[in-house]
Amino acid sequence: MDDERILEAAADWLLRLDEGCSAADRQAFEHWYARDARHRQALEQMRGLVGQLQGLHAERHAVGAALAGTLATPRRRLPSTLAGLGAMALGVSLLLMLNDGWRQNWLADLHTAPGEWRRERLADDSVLLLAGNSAVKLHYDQGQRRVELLRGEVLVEVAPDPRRPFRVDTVDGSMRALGTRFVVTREEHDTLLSMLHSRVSARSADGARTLDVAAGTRARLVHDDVQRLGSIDPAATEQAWRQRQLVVRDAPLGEVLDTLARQQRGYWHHRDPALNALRISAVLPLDDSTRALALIEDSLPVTVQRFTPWLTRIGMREQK
Amino acid sequence: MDKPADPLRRALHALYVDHHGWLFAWLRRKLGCPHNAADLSHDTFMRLLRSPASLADLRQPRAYLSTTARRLIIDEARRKRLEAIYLEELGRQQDASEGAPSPERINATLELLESLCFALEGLGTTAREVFLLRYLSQLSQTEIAERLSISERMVRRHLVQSLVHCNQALDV
Repeated sequence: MDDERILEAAADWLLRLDEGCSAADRQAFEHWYARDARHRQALEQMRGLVGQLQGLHAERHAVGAALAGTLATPRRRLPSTLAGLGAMALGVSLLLMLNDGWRQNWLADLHTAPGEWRRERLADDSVLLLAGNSAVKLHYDQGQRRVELLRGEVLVEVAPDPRRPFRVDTVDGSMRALGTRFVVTREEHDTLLSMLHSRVSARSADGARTLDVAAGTRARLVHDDVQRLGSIDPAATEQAWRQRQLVVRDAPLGEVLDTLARQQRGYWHHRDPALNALRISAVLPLDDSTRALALIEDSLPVTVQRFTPWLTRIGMREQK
Repeated sequence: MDKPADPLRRALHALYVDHHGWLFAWLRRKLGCPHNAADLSHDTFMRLLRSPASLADLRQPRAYLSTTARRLIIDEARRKRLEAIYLEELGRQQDASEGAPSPERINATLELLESLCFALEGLGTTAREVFLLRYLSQLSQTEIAERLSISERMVRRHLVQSLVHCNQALDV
């Protein structure tokens, strides 16, 4: 193809000029350059690209890491566009490589974006309140009412139905509702159950442990265990939930920042180990991260630097 | 749901007839794979179908189509990933030394990164590595040959290939 030949010639000249060429070569180049506008355009475009890359030299590590990390991730493909066995195998392997958030959204029947809360009335009149950045899958049929919490947090209000038990499942275990209202939270390594009203029977994923959890208490589920945690104030918990607040009592700041960060889209940089030594008791808005950070900044010796909407840096305040 | 108004459908049809062949050829060159190119041009038109409002005043259809296709290639997940890695690395370096780049500068770099990412997409791993070592890390061709244990002739060949590839991607 003619255009491709021009591009190859332009690339070759760019390299030759770099490598140091003779006066005769130089003249040949001038001739080539002057001969055709497409030659000039190709060469100047390449020079521009190379110049841009050279301009990033000071940040070469960050730039190199970002490009390598991103180009190694395949483009998301819609399953409907795949055809044939080979394509299916490819689809499966792509699916496995995709990040969790996307896979969970794809599998999910209901999901929310960071900072977006959602209330959903199900076919049986049970109500799900989905916190921001959460996803659930629904399994409803004649014999069962099952909600699979893939990510995030859900408050469940179960409508009574003696013939069909209501269950919430996570990878850590399952919770069978004997009564009505509770909150399930999927954390990175475990699942938390907070009972607001009545009782739930919680069972670890391997089936080895079962525990009845009553209103006003919390339990922690992991793959092979269910433990009772301390008590909670159901009214306050429910109110906080409905008002999209995060209520923390003497919690490590790092954890609180992680929780808040999940509810917004930008990137929060807080690496200073001194931050983790700080503890905080507060009621913070989950749907207004700017205000939440301002409250933290008011009460602890930290500073918040906002570079852009998507980069916020939280560090220790300089001691004067 | 209201149905798309008929003039819009006609506009989409016209767009398809006029530019689908071009888009496919461009993507095929870019991705080096006719199946991917077919998928992507299909997805691009599907995307347009879902936001017919954008079709109303389309003055530069090819620029618009290529931007849409580009958004599909460097999709939201990858864009976020690109940002996250870059910002995290940047943060790490700032911890070591002071002097944070200005928000404008970070923004400009991220935009540039996105277009670089797009330009490099579809290029072989070795060619990409050679290209970045040469122009980002600014190693000489000899140094690159040593580091990657390949001949200098191969280094040069990879450089030509990369320059051509990137130029094709950016040149609409």
